[in-house]
Amino acid sequence: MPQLRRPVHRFPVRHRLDRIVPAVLLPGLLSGWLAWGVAPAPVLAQFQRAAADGKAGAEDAAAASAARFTPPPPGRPVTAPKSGETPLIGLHTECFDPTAKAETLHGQIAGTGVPRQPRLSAAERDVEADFAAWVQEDPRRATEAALRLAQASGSAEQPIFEVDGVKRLVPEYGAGGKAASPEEYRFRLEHNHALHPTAVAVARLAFIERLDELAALPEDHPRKRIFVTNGGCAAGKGSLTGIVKDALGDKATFGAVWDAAGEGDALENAWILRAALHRGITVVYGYAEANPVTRYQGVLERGEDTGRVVDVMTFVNSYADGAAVFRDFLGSAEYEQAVSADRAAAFGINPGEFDLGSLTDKSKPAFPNLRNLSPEGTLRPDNIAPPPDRQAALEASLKILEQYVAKVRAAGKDPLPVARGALDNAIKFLDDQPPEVRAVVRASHERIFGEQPR
Amino acid sequence: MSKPNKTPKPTEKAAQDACAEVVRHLQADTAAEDARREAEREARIKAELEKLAKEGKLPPPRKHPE
Repeated sequence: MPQLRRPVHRFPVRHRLDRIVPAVLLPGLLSGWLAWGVAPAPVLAQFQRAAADGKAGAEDAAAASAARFTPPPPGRPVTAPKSGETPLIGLHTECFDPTAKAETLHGQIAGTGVPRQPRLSAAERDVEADFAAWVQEDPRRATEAALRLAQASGSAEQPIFEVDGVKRLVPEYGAGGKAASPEEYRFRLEHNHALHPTAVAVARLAFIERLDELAALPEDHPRKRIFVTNGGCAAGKGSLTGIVKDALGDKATFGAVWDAAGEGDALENAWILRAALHRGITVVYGYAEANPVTRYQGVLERGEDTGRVVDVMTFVNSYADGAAVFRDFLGSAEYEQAVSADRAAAFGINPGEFDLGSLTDKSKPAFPNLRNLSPEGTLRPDNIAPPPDRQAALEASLKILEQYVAKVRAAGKDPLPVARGALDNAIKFLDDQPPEVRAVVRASHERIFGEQPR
Repeated sequence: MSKPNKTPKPTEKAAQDACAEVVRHLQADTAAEDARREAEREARIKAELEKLAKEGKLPPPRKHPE
């Protein structure tokens, strides 16, 4: 059986420490990883080489980067993106031992702190610092709040854990699914990256706490089974979670639902499997397949409503990396063994495009091209379509963004707040990208804003 | 949709049932019902956040909001 392996990408988000991590961050990054105990020897060696080799060549890039970004506080772990291992925004799954009890992880967070994003503006860094400080002050309090929100989202018996839901704990973000004021709207548009890693940490802690509860149930208890969603941003995962929110209702018998953020690039699946198996819990994975070329419009429309806009680079990664990572996971020895032992199973759908005609003609199906990806049984790697071409998906998404901007402007409205969430927020990732990516993003930025990104 | 040609194990069956329910849900005209449930869900979340705020279990407002 194939081992879980790192996906091969056409232009991965390279972990070029000599370019992307200012020299001043390296000691903090190393000490943070050492504190977490997650950096294996080869990785440490890579860091050490980067520290030694990159000193001279990194100075210019580091200086330019330092001018745009405020470094994380010293002594805290830093979560640096690495294709196939750590998403552009979010946390490496190894930050938390999946077999550790929630109590242990509370102590870890209180001691070493919440991992920080490597590159944030000064304003974003302030928001990150405030949220992280509140969590570090009393991790048990943060976990309880997230668990109660998950129960409110689902039910006491079947809580639904979602990273974006945790952001609602922050007063300036607001309590509603939609922003309730211009201030909330602006805060959401500007600070999604600042809040995301801490929200991931709190959601995972609350999830582990729920798994600890489920572990105590009898072996054959119907709630000793959890459901995990997968798919790119705006791919229709809500439809999967909908089976418990809306469709199954009282019939649903999952003990918890992990409603994965597309931003996580499907990297949490193996971690969740280990956490569940360690506690005698079975896992059902659901995957929503979609074509990213058509989906960015949905992200922008959702952003208009909610103030929550996934930037274009994170969006494309959620499909390109997400599909590759999920395929690898389904082919991993760990997952195959769990399937053989009936401890895990997966299904997938491709909803296709929504037919607007179904709104007025009830004889028409809403999703005429809806497909079950594995009608023969549990989902296998071959059932998952190959990852989309990253450059093509990026260019298509940028085109959709520019069309959106033109349409909103033509309607006499200001498209720039949403466009900034979509494009300005992506600029911080450009240093790691190949020239063809930087070129199309910068050109699109100039067409929309009339200037090159800083 | 074709049916599996073997008796599925319990976890596999749970996945197949969930898949069938997703498909059924997406094919049915459930928009009004979904909207009602979503509104109820939002109300529950807001109410829980209000409780948490009263108990002092939410982050304080930022000292220097922009």
